[in-house]
Amino acid sequence: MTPPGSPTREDGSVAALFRVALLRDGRGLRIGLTTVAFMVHQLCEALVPVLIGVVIDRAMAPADRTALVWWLAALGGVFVVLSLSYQRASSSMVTVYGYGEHELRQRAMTRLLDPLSLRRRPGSGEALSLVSSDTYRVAGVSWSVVQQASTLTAILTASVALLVISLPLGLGVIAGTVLMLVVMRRVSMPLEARGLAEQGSAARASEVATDLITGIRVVAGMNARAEAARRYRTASDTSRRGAVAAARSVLAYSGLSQLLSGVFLAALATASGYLAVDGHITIGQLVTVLGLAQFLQGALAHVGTFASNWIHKRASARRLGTLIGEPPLIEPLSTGPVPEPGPAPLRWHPPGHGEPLDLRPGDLVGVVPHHPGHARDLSDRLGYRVPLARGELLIGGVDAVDLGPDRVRTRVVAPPHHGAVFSGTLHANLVPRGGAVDPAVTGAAMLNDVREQIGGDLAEVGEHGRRLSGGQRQRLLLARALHTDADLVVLDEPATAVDPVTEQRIAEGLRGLPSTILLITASPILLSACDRVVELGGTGQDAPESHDPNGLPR
Amino acid sequence: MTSAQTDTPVATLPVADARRTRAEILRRLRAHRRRLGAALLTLLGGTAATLATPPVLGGIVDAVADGAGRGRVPALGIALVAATAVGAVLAYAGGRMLVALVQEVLAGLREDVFETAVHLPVNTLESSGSSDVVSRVTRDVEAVSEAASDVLPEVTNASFTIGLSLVGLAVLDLRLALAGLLCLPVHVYATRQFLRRSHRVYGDIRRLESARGQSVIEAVRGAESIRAYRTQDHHLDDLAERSVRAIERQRDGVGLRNRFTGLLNAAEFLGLAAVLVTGFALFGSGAVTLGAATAAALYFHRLFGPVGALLGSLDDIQRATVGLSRLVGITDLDRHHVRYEEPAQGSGRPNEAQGAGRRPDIDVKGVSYAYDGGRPALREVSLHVPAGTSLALVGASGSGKSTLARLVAGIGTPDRGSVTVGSAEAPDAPASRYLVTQEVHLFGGTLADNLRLARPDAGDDQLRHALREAGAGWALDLDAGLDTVLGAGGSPLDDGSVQHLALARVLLADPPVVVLDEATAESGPQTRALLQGALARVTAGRTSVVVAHRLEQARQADRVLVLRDGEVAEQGTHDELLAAGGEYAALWAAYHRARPGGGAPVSP
Repeated sequence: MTPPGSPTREDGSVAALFRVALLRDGRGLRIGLTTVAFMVHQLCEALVPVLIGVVIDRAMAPADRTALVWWLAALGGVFVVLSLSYQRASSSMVTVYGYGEHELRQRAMTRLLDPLSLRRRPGSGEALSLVSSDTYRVAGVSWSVVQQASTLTAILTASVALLVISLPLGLGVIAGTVLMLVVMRRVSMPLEARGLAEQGSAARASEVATDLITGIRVVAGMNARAEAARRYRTASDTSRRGAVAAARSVLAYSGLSQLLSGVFLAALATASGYLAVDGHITIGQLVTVLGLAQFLQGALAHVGTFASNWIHKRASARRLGTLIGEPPLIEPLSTGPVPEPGPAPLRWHPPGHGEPLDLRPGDLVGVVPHHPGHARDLSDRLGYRVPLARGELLIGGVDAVDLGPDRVRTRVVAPPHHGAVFSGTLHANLVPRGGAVDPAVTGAAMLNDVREQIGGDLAEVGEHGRRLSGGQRQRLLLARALHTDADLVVLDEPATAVDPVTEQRIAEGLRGLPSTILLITASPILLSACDRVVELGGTGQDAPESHDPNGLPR
Repeated sequence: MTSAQTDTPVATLPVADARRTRAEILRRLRAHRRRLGAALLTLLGGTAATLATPPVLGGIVDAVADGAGRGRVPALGIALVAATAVGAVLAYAGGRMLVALVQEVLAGLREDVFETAVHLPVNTLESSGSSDVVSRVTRDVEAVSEAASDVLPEVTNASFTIGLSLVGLAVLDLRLALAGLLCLPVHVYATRQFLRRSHRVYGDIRRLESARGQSVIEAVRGAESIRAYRTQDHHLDDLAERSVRAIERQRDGVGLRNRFTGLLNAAEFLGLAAVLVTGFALFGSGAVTLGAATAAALYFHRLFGPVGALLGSLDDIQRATVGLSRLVGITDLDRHHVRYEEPAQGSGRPNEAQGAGRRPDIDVKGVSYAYDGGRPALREVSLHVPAGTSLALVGASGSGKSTLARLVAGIGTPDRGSVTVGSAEAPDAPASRYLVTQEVHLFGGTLADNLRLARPDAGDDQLRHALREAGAGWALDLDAGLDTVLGAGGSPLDDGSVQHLALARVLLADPPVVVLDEATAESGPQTRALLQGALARVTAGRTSVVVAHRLEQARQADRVLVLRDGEVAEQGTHDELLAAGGEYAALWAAYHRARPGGGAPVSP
């Protein structure tokens, strides 16, 4: 839950999210009108059996031809209103629901991409289900409100009609509805829980299939295709059993609901039969009651699902609310004015390292990490993906902590080692913020053969860059980093997926570029191209040293 | 900005036509025709029981009308309860039977699809995009099962209700049934019009929604990159644009459905009015009782729901059929024998005849190869690896190293020339060769699951032994040992560790020929030293081809072959090539110079 007194953070409470789905952007008014339209529709639906009864009572029984014509005309009028109100309501609901979901999705996504990052960041699977399934369910409250309100209206209408015909019958229907709600809620909860667990296992086959097919090269390499097929069979069987069990839960639930509403119908019919026999109601009224009872059977079955419907939506809203209310990983700035960074060189003081490093324009500096984890940590710090200590990074004389991550990133670009390639053109991947592709940069990143091979800069690279090999993707990521006009480009092991020949050429290419580059790498080939190489001390205690390894002229 | 259309992979895998799809589904159902018959009969019985309701209600009306009610009403009430109970029980029992059967057929189908897909030649899988295969074995399978579990019972129930209600009407009076049928032409017209246009609109909606989903997936996975380049606005705008497009198209869809619903409502009114008018006339002439006329009207009123459900789900059925035809398209490949024949034992174990002790040699003669008719990746490459020795492949990216390695491993066949493993008279089956690829893939499941892929029958001790042998003893220190769940949701492993497991798998499979195309540069010095040791053990005593991602690997190999633009530039031993002063020597010199301490490998 959101702590009080933090106006910068969004309200992630369940109520706030439901408000977004139901009230924002004029949705409140629309939902109000739609609910009225749906109520009118349900009212008309309930009127149909009433009118059938009236036709039988007033026209058929007395054999009154004029009454038949009039009452049929009335029935036609009811159908017109019934149809138009439904059409009106469903058109309007698409907009309400669609844009409600859209807004929730944009909010969730904005949080996931927050420059300040999140203190607890959901894994990608969890994030995906938050952004797609949970927003979808929360947005669905608009449907719940509208449909449930109109169903209750229908039941109310029917009860009023029954109350007019006979007080005990009307009261009986209301009591029956409440009873149905209570019983079905009781029954539904354990069934629901079981059904959900089983639906989870039904997805198992898809997971295994995706896993094995995306790893098909590895599988084929070890001649394990038959074993892969056998594993899929096992998973598919688990899924089958899960799906059957889930379907059986649903069958049991609907069977019970059918039974209960049927008993309700029988009780109502018998009671009204007695009332008719005793002359308390007319035959026509009896027919109306029976028609209404049939109609109520359906409405009551819907009432049975209300409880579980809200359980899911609240759970989704809670999950989504946790994301939206999640505090940022990097503390937001104090509101004081921050001086504009000057042209002074960048100064980086790696934690545990004796003296700070000054990076002058045009420098190519190598930093040797202890292990891959250390490399990731250094690049995270320079990319301000983790909280920084004051004094760790100075940009033009201004502390990075005062500038905040987003402004730091305009001056220092430190993309993550496992960078993402997006579907779209090569061009869009190279210069995501727009602009022209620089042949000098693509040449240095050894990307020109890739540009040629896939058919130019405007060729699509496929989902996650699947049209490219691992080495090609890495060179694309390298070229993307070098395309920015930042004061400093930090490269974290940029050539691990390429062969030594290409790596050698990349090293030469980096030397030839005018950019200021900090290379975090253990590769001797890349390090040999650097103007300076800094070996960071042990795990922070060892004396660090900075030296010029080969004294090579640049 | 990408358009939605380009996101759908081009399907080059076949799709079965409607007739073939139908035939295949019928064939699969026929295998269970007894059970299917029993399930359908049970469901039919259930529907029939429920349909006793309107005439019983009519009976109550009649009982009241002829004044003899008192005695009959309670009996009729009990009859109502009985009808409901029998209906509910039979619907439940029949539903259970049907769902078990349908899920069984479906599982059989998807297992066959996967079996065929996984045996397709790797090139086919790659050129048609593994995403096409993945989307068939996941999304299409899911669409079909959803239709089977949600739509099928509903459609079955609706059809039975409609059919039996008409029978019920006809039993009351044939003329009443005929009056009810008056609405049929309107239904036919509405449905045809709807289906003609819904196909395109709903197809668009699905495409737009999947484009939107893809936008979400990419932004979630690439969040760090997006932050680093400050392109949040670009991605959020892209997502917003896609989702607004999807909503707009959904509005078209609702418009279409509204017109359909409007016509259905018209048909309902028409039919109901006809039944009432006919009932009026028949009751007037004394042909039917008031109760029968009531029952007829109630019957007809009861049909509104099922008719709407049936016609409304035609669109879902159409969609499921599309999914089915894509699935049958794949299983049909199997009928046409377009599959990679893995040797009988299938588990990657060499035959006894070619097992340990006999190390075959590798002979490559004049091999040329091009991907999809593009620029040739290999031209006239010949090489020979004597039994039990190792050959390192060196070259720049795009020089054809990996292509050559795959051909040697028996994955794909050369356009020209030959690859022979073992003697020409008795060549070894592809299963004798084992390829460790560049792809780093951690399979789902436990550590043991990851290892047993290479040798399903291996015992726990064998697994532990292989891990220690490969120097991957660290894996046994994981929380739950061999049962540790790895990957997403479990213990994360870095790429170096995953490759380490890949090497342990080679030791488990124990193949006579091993082709290594793995890149271990990802790992730090310590892991690298461990991997180096593992590599040495993996190649020891085996005939091996190693794609050198580091020059150290080349130096340790018996012979080195340098590729340039798909052709052999030079080959010989490490020392020979150094002496020759060619490309390899220059490369080595640069590499050597790069090392501050001299030519020695990096010390951990």
